[in-house]
Amino acid sequence: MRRYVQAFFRHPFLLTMPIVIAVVISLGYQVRQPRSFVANASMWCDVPVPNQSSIFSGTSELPSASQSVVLTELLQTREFLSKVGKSGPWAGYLAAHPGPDGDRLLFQLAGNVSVSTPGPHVLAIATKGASSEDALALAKSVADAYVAEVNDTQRARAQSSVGFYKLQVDQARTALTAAQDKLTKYLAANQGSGPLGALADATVTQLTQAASVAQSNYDQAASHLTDAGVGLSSVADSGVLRVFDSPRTTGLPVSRKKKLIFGGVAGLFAGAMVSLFILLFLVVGDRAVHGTGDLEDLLGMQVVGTIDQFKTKIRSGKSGS
Amino acid sequence: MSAEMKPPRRPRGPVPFSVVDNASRQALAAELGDGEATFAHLLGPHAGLQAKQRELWAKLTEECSSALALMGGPASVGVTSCLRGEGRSTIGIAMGLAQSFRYGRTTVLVEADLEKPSLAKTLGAKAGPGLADVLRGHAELDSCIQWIGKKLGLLPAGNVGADATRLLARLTAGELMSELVERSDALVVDLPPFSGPGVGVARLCPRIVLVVRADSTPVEAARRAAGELERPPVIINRASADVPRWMRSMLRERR
Repeated sequence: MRRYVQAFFRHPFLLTMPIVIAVVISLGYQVRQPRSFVANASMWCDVPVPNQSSIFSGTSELPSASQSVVLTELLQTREFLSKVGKSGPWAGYLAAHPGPDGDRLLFQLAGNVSVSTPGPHVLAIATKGASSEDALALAKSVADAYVAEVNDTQRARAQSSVGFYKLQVDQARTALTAAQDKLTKYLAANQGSGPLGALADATVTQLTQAASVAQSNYDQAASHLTDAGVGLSSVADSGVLRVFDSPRTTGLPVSRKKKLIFGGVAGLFAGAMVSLFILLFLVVGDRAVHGTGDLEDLLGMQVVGTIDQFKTKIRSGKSGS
Repeated sequence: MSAEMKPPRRPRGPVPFSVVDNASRQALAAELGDGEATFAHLLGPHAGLQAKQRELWAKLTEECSSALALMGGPASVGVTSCLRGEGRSTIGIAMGLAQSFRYGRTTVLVEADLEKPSLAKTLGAKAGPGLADVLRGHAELDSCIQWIGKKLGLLPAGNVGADATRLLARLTAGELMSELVERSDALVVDLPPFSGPGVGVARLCPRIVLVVRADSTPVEAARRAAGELERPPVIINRASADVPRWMRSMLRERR
């Protein structure tokens, strides 16, 4: 610790300048930034039907966290951003500039969106814009595009499930009918034959078992079809996501004071990290004797005198003696 | 002051403790500037700075006086350092001033750093004849000692030429040091740095003080010196006073 303090006081300018420079740069950057407005929206998320809701189930699953990851991922894609861009004040520009200029604007828009999860079922979206209208339109576009995207995906999955289980049910029904027919026909053909009647016949047992298995398969497929149907109907009715707080803005720009405080703290932190790194480098690379402790404790030598560095000011300069 | 004006020898008395007060320091500062042409050279050409320089030299002398007291007040001291440029000669001069002004001893400063002599120049004395001439047998010892103060003489390096190492070997082998001890109450030898041929000459001095420059001398060099010279007492030069006093006391730095 002593060596670090000594190194700091030996190189005060070298170690404080990074902090000063970083703070100045950070504050300068914040000052030069144009005024910005913020809009917020929040969405309610739950696990899709027919699964049990996570609200009262006590499960550790956090729907909003997984939705946040998905939305953040989607904001990196051109396809999703194009959907966002289609419903805002920038739609005209994007239509006129389908190339790199349009893409640049899209990714600029994505940079103005931040996603957070205030709770396990609430997904919050905050957007920035040069005006409150821009911020509001962006929040609305992102919320709408995301809800549509998720619901479309879920609907497609549910429809696919319904189609699949419908086919399964049809096949199971056909198999069941065939097994039942076989059993009926056999019983009709062999009624009264043998000393114990048709019930004791091995073939009857076999056909009965086959009919039973076919019935079980049918029941299972029918159950799956019902679940898939419920899922599809749920998606169609309410969707997996719904906008909880519709996009709103205060209409006031982001406080400059807040921005400056944030910039100052960020600069301070960055500068302090650089200074810390330099200090570490100075101390680790330092092999010189600095004081009494080094000689007495390290080398067992007796220090009989310490002559301080005398400083005399000669007009504009300094000279040590 | 010439060799003929050498003051009579005084019996060596008890060592006075060197804790001095401001008045005493000011008196020394005044004494340094009191008509001594050589000390005037030591104080520099700027008239405006001479008062400050006097004060600094008085402070330096005071520190060296204190160091001598801690060492038991030896009459003969060799001043060496690990490397060049660590303030060895400056401290040698201050040691001489301390022996002469504070301890009242008739002192001879011996410039034994024959490779890069600087004492004569710093003190504004003649560069020769000096130690090299005496070692070659070209001059008498008494005629080479220049009395630059009432009780302070200087034996400069003299005309060294190119054979400094051989002359140092001759000094190590000869009896010159004993002769010097006989001619004065105290002897301060400005030795070559320890990294050079200084070790042999250092062994001639009964007490050695090692000058270490703070923030500059490598710990390894100091460790080597500690081993070779059997842990000599150390004077830390140019100690950084940048760490505030309150912080120093917090860090429990022993000064």
